[in-house]
Amino acid sequence: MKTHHPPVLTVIPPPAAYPPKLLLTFWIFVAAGIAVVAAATAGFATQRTWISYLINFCFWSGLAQAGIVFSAAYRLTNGRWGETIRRVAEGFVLFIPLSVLLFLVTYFGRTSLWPWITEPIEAKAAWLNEPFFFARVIFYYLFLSALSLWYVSISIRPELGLLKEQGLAPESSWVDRLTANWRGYEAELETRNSKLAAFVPGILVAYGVVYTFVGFDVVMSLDPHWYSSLYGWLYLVHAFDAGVAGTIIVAILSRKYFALKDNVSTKQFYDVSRLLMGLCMLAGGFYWGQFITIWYGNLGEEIERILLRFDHAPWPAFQWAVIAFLYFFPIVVFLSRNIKEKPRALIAIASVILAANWFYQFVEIAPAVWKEASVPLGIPEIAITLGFLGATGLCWLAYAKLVPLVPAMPEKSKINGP
Amino acid sequence: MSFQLSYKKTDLDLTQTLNKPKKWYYVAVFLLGLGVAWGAGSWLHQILTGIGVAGKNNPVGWYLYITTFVFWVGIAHSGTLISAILFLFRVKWRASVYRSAEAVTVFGLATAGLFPLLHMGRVWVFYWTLPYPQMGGLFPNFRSPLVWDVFAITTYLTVSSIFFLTGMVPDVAIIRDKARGWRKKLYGFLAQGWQGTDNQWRHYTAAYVFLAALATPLVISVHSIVSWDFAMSIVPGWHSTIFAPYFVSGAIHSGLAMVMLILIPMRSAFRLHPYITDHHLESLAKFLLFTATMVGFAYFVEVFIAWYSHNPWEQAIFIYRAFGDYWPAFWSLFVCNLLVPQLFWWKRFRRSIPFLVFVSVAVTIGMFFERFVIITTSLAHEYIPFMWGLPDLTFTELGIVVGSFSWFFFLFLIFAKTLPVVSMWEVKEQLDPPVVRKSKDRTS
Repeated sequence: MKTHHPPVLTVIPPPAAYPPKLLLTFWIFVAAGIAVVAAATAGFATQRTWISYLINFCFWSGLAQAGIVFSAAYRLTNGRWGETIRRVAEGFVLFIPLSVLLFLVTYFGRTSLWPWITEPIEAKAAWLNEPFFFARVIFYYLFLSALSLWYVSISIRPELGLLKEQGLAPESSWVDRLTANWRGYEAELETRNSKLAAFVPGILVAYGVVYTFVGFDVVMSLDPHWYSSLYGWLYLVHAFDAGVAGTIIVAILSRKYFALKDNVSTKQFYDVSRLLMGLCMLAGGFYWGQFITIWYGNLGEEIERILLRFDHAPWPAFQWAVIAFLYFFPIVVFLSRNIKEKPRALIAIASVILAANWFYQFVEIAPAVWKEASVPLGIPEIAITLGFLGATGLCWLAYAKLVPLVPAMPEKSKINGP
Repeated sequence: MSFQLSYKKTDLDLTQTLNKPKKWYYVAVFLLGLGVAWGAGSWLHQILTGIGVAGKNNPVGWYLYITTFVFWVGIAHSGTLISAILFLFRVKWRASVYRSAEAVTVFGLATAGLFPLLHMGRVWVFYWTLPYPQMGGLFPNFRSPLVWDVFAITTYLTVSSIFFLTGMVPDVAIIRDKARGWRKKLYGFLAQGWQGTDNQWRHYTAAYVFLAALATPLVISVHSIVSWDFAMSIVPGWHSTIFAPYFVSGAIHSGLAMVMLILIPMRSAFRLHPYITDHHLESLAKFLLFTATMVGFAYFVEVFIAWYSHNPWEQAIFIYRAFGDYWPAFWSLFVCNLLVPQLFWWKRFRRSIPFLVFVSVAVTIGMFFERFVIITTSLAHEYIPFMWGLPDLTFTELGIVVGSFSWFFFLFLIFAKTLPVVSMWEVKEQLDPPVVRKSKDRTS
């Protein structure tokens, strides 16, 4: 008769210290961003700054939220191929509550951004009015923040508790809070799987609904007379695309900075690259679906938005660059299997796609608000972008210092299992 | 499934579906044949009498024929999509359901393809629609979405058929080796000289991945183009940017329902329970819940944007849909497509065969209503009252619609007795290899 021995569980603790230069760099970025926004609030170069602020807000908050959604979708589909990549994606969670505060900052720039605030549109006043607008957008982000934090706290609890049990957990009151009433790894794993089985579909539905309306409210209403029923999904898909590209970059960098080379394999890069390629194709398909319908219909109230971006300087160069690098470039380069498995090539490609996603937000937002002939891109805009990058980086590092990025054992997720 | 099955049992179980039919089969073929005959007779009546016997009129020039066309194209979308996407995502439960799903695609397209011919009335001059130089100057307008449609659907039918036939090559070879007479010739042709050598398997799996990768974007593009038949116009209720993903998700939604409606009776009739398990049906039910939520949210977004747009014509058409002549169809589609599938949030409904059938029937009806409401109401209630009018439902048109359903299921019955309905080689891939089983047996 065989005796069953439970496997010895090992878990890699988070690093004791950050790479010091990285931490300092992120803080400098944040300081630069804050300085520029503070100057804008004080009245210097107001509109340009607020445009850039909104672009970065949409881009980075979308990227962070997409990390959580990627993880939730991975669990829902019983993914087994990239546990560490999933953990890396969850690392963006701390930026999501921060994005509530960052959105509040746009209140100071509201008159520079949303024209219906200074010139109300009577017919649309029931939806486009200042108190209701800010109340509902803050609710969107608060709601998703609560869901995301709850999701990640459930997701990381078994590994974190195991780490604490083995005396390897970092000294932090958060570890104690997140592992309160610990009942042992197996029992916790069971509880987590049953909780997430019910919770994961909900978070995905919530994301789909909320991000559709974020797209309508925050970006589409910059041009309040224009409307497109696809716009919300278009916004959502691009945000998700950026999230996956960002996750790939951070996962590759983690191999270097957090010694995860053995835990993020080339096979995992191959799979996640295919996902990124599929998302770029989907984003391109949605973009084309919106474009062709409007172009073919050729109705004055719709076509103007397209003409502005394709026919009026300085926007066409940016618009075409987005189309080339966000929709076509990934299809061409990802045809190669080798490229998908080489971290150096992949980080370069993901960076191009991420930058193209940033410019997608730029082309969607800037032309609607900026009416000068010049391009609203310069040192202040770079500083703001770096500020958001720094904030995102710091949030991710704070997570990575607390949470083991490698699961304790190959998980047999019971979500949706037979 | 692996603990009960072996390679040999799989071969036996999945080829017994091709044995001599039982009585129920002949009864079903006869009844469906009657339906087909009704449809064919109605078409003949229309040809002899003129297109006026159909209920379409001015302004509702697109009525039940185009509704049914879009419905069947939608049904046809689930098969290749389920098969190709689940293959690319390495979903194991796909193995048991994809063959039937792909058959749904091919037969759905074979049914849908009849409707443009039915709709044009003088079917004997159908070749006027083809792009060839001729004296009348009726060269097709390549800027028209209707022409895009022809190319899209033809391409889709071609790729889907190749994907369907390629997927069954190793299985057909097994049947060929046992068959005699004309059957051996037929299966020999379909098996394309398959011997199962290492070299053949290597090329085969590479080609299959390639086909799956090709079929996935194609399937999405095709129904997008069907949606643009409507969205490219400036008819209120049609000109909407969300139409492409909305139609695609609706197509998958209806297709999944149809696949379940086929799999459930087929499983009982051929005793395929070890292969098409409750888990497989539950997985399809979850997929259906996902598409229901997507479709339902698209309905909501459409209504919201009509309100937000402050466009009086857009608002008017949605009010007309909800409270006008066809309000029962409008509200039914919400109930059938969105609300009823929400039952699948509960596991006991996903595991209950009667509920699976009930929801699938509801979705099939709901999706037909959805196409009907989109097409008919927008044409019946365009910009100004001068352009308003209602079509008439005629016996001829109804006969053709019923005939199309009979034709589809008739084709499927023929398929079920001619070719293996579950993929043998992919089911076997999930079993323990025979050698390993033997060694396990010895140790135990």
